[in-house]
Amino acid sequence: MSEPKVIMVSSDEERFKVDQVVAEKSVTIKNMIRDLNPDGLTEDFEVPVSTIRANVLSKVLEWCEHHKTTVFPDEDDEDAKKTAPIEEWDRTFFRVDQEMLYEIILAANFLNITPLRDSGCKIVAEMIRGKSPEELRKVFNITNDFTAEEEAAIRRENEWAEDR
Amino acid sequence: MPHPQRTVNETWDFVKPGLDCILGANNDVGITAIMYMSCYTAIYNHCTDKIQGNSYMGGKAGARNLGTDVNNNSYILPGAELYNKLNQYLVKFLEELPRDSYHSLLEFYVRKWTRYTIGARYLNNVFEYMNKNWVNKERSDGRREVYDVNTLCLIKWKEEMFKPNEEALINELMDLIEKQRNNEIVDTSLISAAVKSLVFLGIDPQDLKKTNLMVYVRSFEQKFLEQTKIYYQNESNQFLAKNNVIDYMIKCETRLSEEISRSNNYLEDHTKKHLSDALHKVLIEDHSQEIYNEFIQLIERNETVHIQRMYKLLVKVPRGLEPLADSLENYIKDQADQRLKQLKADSESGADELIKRGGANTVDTKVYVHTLIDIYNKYREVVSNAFNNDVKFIKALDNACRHYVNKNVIASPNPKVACKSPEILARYADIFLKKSSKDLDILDMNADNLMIVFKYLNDKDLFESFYRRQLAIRLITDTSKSEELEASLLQRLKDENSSEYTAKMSKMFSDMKASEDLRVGLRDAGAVKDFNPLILAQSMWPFNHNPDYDLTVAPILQDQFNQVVEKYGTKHNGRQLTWLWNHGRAELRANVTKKNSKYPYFTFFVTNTQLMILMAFNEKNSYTFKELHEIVGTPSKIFEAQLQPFISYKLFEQVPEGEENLNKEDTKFTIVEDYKSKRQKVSFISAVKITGTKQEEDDTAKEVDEARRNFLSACIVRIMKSRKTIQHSDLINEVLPQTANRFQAKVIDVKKVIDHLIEKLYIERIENNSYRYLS
Amino acid sequence: MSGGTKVIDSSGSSSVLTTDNKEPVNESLSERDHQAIALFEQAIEKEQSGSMQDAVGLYRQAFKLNDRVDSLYRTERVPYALKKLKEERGKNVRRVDEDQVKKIDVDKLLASFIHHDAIPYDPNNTEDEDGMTIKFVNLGIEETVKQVEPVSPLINLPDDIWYHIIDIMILTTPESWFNFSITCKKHAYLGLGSSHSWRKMCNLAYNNQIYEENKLYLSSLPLGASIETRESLPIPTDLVQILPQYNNSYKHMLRERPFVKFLGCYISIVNYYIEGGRSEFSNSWANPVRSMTYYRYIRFYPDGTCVKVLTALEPNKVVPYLSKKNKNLANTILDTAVNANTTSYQIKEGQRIYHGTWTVSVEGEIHITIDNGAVPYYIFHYFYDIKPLGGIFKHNKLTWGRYYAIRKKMGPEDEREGEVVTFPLKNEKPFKFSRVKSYKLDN
Repeated sequence: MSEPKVIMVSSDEERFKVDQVVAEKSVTIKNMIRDLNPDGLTEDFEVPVSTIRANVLSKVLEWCEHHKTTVFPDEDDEDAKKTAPIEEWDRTFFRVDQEMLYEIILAANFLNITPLRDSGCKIVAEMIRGKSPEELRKVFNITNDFTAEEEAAIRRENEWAEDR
Repeated sequence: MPHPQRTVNETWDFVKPGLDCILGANNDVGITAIMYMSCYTAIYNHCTDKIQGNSYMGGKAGARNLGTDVNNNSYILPGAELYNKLNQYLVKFLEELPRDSYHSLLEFYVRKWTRYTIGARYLNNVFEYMNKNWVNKERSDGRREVYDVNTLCLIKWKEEMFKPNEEALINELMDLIEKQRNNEIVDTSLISAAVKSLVFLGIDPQDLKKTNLMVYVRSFEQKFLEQTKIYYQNESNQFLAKNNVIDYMIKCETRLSEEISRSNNYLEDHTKKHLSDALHKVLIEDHSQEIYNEFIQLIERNETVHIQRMYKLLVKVPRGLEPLADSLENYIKDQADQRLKQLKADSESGADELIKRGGANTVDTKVYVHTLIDIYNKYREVVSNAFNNDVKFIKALDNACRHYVNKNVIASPNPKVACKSPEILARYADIFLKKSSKDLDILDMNADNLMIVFKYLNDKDLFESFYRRQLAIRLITDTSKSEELEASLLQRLKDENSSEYTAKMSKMFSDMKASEDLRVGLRDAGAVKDFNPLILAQSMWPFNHNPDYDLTVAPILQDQFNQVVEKYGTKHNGRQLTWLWNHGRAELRANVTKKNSKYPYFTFFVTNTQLMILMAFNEKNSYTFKELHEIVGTPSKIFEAQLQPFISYKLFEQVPEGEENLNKEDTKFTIVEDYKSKRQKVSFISAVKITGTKQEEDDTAKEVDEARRNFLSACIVRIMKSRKTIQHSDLINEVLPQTANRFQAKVIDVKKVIDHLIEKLYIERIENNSYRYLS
Repeated sequence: MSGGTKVIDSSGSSSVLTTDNKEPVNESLSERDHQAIALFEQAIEKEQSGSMQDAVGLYRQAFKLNDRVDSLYRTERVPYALKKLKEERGKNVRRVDEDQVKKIDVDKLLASFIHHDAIPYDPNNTEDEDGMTIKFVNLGIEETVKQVEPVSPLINLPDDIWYHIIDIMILTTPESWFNFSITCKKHAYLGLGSSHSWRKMCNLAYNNQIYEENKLYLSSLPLGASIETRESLPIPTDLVQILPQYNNSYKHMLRERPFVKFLGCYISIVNYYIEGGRSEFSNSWANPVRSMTYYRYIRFYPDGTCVKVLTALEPNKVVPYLSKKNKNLANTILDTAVNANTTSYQIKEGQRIYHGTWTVSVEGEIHITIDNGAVPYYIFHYFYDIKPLGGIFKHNKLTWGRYYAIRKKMGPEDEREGEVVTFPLKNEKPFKFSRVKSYKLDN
């Protein structure tokens, strides 16, 4: 008998049958499987993921499949993980539009896949890096909603803190 | 990802049935994957909702924000609402837990606790998003009264379940433990689960990763230890009232091992030390006097197993062994005292043949030494078998041995005279090292025995002196049993003491070797035959030149003596050689027979003086006393003593006869022409009357005294050189231990040496009862 | 940019607003005028980097070409600079009412942004150069209304995610954290209003400090002291314990509690004058006073070491080499020299990098100790106080406290051991902090 699989059901009812180890890249799913099956899986296990659409879920599972055997460093040194460069595969993986980027990060957040969320966040941070405030407004399509005085006051009060 | 905006109440109503299932309410029906996931999702959605400010709080949020501290805004975040809801929910859940159908409060507590903690871990996972974000943020902003969900569950349990029931619960727990001690069958899993729960409830609000044992210690451990003490106080008193100490000790062993397995089953490590301290106090320390009182009886009956039992109990108690070690020490001293008194009495009454053999009214050397060793071996075995070779007891044994070896009726009947043990021990060595001893007699005499006693000798320098004297004789008379044996014993003495200690003896061995080389050299040169000269370094050997034995070498031998001196002189220029005539001996062939006699010739063993006398008779057959005395040249007294054996053994005819005429100038001595003797070999040496023995003993004492003074002087000068100035008492305290492996110096001896050194201007007295070194 | 710090990039050249290559050329000005303005700009740059002597020379040349070069510079360059600033910051670069600005309670303002959402850019709602809207001018009749695109979906990421992204920016490129935070009210709340960024920055700043008090305490402990004792330091590393002293506000803590900065260096510029000297190439008749400039540089590391340089070289010649990995500024020259005789190369005093150790007290007094300094038999001790620069730039200035040296033991019976020489501080100038992008915590 082959190993029992995990079947993830997207919000639009599409079913993804994956290995337990792939599904368990999501700590949320992992906790759930362990909580509900204290003695381990004996048959296929269905997990409803009603917050994620099929196109996003398939993208996320693609990432999980690729990183099936990757060992990610421990939780402890958060700062080291945040400053580590983005892996080349992940960088290619994230060549998507802002909408999809948003959806993947959100899904990673929901499913608690920390390395995926971190990579996504780094992509966003890179979008911001090296740009002037006005350039950033164009990137995000937002308006400067400060008054001149508000902006001046905020600058004066806070800008110094970027030095350290 | 659209989801309907929900107020906190809506969210809560949505997740509550799931939470009930997770915590096992409503007959514990379990939770489905769908339910689990929708709870997680609802909580996630609530925490990540963006516009709640307007939708569910109306204008209130803005109003609350303005003018308030920036850092307080967290409390209006959705996480806070959920957290408060959960808090209220848990309180209500715990209040409403149904407690019928359980035998006892303890059972109810344990069963519910077990289920609740599993639920709490699930709950923690379902609320993971809130934990990771809102709770973490609150805690790192300094609000340490906010906890992750699992911890919150435990804290609610502590407040709502444990605190209100604490007293009754702990009492039930104590009753159960007492029942178990009374050997009733109890469900120990209840005890261990309840105790474990107290550990989990010890939460450090500052650092949730650390567990502390506050709850466990305060609510359980203190009472547990108190109860344990009372229980075993009662039990031990009652038991000892009815039973003997041996049975009591066995009981203690059983109880201690029971308690150890109990503590392994359900106590924290923290308690183990306290528990064993408490047990040892009430079971052992409080009854130690009763146990000590049993000791002498046990050792007299040689009950090693029980003594060991006693040791193993008392070792657990602070300072529990010292009285026992003291007892042992005194006991050995007493035993030794008795045995040696008995030995002396036996030998004086001559009751024992063997003992008598040592001479009238004196104890045989071997028997004495073996008695010392016998006592040692007996108690060495006790120390090893019963006391686990514990240093305290080895020390007690050492103390006792040192005492009886140096102070007993045989070796030191008179406390003012130096102890005889060193001398006896040296004689013991001589016996088994001498060639002449019969193997059967020395079968059980050996270096191992010697070393045991040697270790305990106080006056090791005395031993050295006697031993060396006997060694010297063994060497020059070639009476040593085995060179190898001599060397190995010397090595052991050196190892046990120091190379300084054996320096002289080592030098003696090398002198012997050098002499052998010299002799071989002379023989190969064809110069000297049948002549075995020994060159001995002065002051290393216990010999002095004695002018009473001076003599004139017979002309026929003159050449050989000169060649020795000459040959030695070429090797070691400037060294002066003095002949020790009294120590040499000669073997000569005497043709004083007629053709039909029993032997063709005789072999005579003679002293050097006697040799010179006999050599004279090669020239003619008779001399007057005056003539003979002039030829030999030895001072009268000794000359007469040396001459006497020839008369007694009828080699010379003396005219006129009679002892009183021996030294008359005109008395004539004629050698017989046909000597009659039963044996072919005749020794004239042992018949010489020796008057010098007393003299030699005095020499030994004098030599040792002087060595001691020199040793002390060197010691003091060494200390003064490094310290420059020192107080009198400090000096004494530094000197005494340095002498320990040679002899036991007395303060008065040290003082004498100090006075001597002051006289010699090595040191001077200065104020404050101190000395200063004068360089 | 009064009193501002500037960012020096890794090449060591300073990016100052006035030296942009792409600026338009005003055709009405003569070649000579352009030359004058260029010289004037160079002079400003020299002045800013502290080389007074060079600056004075350039100013003089500029005024020789055009004696009104100062006003020419203002009319020619300032509007361009303003325009460029607008490109960088957006529409709000306009005249600001200083009195209004002073009245604003920034913390309250930021807190009030908590429930603001980002507003999408409306191409119909643009302001012209004078702050008047086109909409009102044209009354909206002929104007076709352009469609408003929604904001980027990324804007709607949950706050928790944004905090995560902000952490990454603070850790890697702090200036992007600020540029992001100043784009709109919503982002200002995320980046500046919530406690998140400030907590992160406090942890980064304070957990890397070497506190004098802790060092003393630890050195007074017996060997093998328990971990509990080590954890109860006089200056706790867990900031939550001291947070109440700062109104429970990390932002307040970061503002009030001094700290040593690592991602840049501190520079002190000293100008002094020598009378009677005259520059060799000076064509002036009366120049009896010569201006001299020298610099002090200090860079700190979180491992308790620091490096120090005293030189006449300008920042762009020093900053790239100022590292604990180098022994002198010409290190790279030495390393690449093929000539085997380079061992005889004497390092000029002004190029040596001295290595020392530092501690800081909780009040902000820095103590630097240099054992192998310029004089072999001295141990040098420097004391500085961390101060704000111009009231706004917190902890960006080091003022001189004390400066002395203690004689080392040079032989077995050195009677002069322990002698103290105190140096005068009369001519010394405070240090200012400059961010250096290439600097990491340990390179």
